[in-house]
Amino acid sequence: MDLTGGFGARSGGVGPCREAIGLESLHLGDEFRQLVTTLPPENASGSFTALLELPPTQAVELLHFTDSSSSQAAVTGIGGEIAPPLHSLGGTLAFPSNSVLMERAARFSVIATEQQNGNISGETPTSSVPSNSSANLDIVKTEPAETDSSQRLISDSAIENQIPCPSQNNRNGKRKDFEKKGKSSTKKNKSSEENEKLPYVHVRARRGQATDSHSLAERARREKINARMKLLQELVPGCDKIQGTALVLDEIINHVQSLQRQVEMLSMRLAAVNPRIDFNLDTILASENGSLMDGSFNGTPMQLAWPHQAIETEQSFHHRQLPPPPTQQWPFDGLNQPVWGREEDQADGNDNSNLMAVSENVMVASANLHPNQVKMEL
Amino acid sequence: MERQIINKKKRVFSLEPNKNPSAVFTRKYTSHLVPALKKLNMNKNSSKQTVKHEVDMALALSAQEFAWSRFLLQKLSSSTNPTTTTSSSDGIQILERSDKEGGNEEGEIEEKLRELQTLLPGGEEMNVEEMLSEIGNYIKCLELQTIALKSIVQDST
Repeated sequence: MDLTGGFGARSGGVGPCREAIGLESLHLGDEFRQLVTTLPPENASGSFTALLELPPTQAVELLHFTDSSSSQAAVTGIGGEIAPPLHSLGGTLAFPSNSVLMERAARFSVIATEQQNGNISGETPTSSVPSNSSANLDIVKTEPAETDSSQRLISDSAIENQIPCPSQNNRNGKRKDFEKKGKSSTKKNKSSEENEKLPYVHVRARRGQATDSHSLAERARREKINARMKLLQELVPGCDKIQGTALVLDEIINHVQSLQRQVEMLSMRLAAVNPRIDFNLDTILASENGSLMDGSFNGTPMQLAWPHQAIETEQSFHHRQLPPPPTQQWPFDGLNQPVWGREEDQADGNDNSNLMAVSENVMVASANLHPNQVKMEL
Repeated sequence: MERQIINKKKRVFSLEPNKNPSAVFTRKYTSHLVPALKKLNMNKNSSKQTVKHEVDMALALSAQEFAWSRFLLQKLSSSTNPTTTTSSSDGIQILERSDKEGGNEEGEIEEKLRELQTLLPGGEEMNVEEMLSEIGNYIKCLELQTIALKSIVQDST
């Protein structure tokens, strides 16, 4: 889609340079690593075969380029020259789409439902940097001739339908474990997916695992639990860095306990303060509409719903009294003071100001602090 | 008259019902809690335990979609003496106990899951998967509750 088209469009002006960059990257694993700091795109020996598989026009250009700079020194020199353009390119041109893709890849990776060959679930977030390079490479060469499996893994999730990546078996020894990892996590995804949807539990046995009904059932159960644990990890602050179920559970327990203790503290303070509060709820309660609240703690729509939630928060607040600052937007920081300031002036006649301020404050605070929180569904 | 005009000018109406669950919950919560507090206030009977009772009641009423809120309501309505629903002290004890337990990893995890169950109202009656989902929204509601309480307290001091 965008990539191939964009590349085609831009290839006129910048093409040879970028294709050359591609070739450079193929040749010079080191150079490229310096440039983009990631997995070394394979072997110098592979470059020729890569060359052969490229479409004739590109191959000719590449050959031409390499002919002109045969020696390694020349190549490194040119590699050095190309470095700044690549950087600038990396900063601007092709790679705005790259960041979008990476975002999307990061998002899709967690709920990776699609079965690309060796699609990752947990790997893309950790390998965001390699994805940078691999996406670069994919942009530079329109046909990933000999892609590393890592590139294939990541590019598949990143570029999905855009560049038709043929599912090639990369016999590169280094990447075999990647592949296997990818496959097993795919299966894990698939089975956990199916567990969520179907009444029957279909669990595919992974390589080297027992297949009797007990262990199958237990594995299914384990996977469900792990799926939920993942969601919880995202909910509790600071949990995504932690490895290992037990520690995460510890964190969650601590968090819940601290929250409960906070509630206790606050209710004690409230009890202390309570006699002095003057409540009046007429306008507030009258204004509330019944609004929708959707339900269970489901993870899959969560990711995609977050930005949407943020937008809704800003825009669709129920009505309240704004303080005189005429701006309709919400200076969240400054909101507290003006509201209460206004309240002092009108305290006599305006019974509701106090409580309105409270609910205002609460809404504002909750919206401000939770723009990206879990969407609860019924 | 004047005041009405001033009030009108300041009002901001939203065109659509508020769908953001955080805001919905918070609004429900305050709308439950504040009248209850007011009533308490009028009765001149604000012992710390009763306030806590109201606080928990407001929480349970505002989150009726979830299983734990039903359990919480049951607990609250059945107990004439409002007991604290937070078992923080118990939680600490259980934590220590699990620390002493051996290095069996599966056992540890089970231990911790059971601990979570004690924290969640009604957690013991649920199976583990359900409990994990419920814990998620319980945490969320607790967070919103703390925010609401903070605002109320801040507002009145």
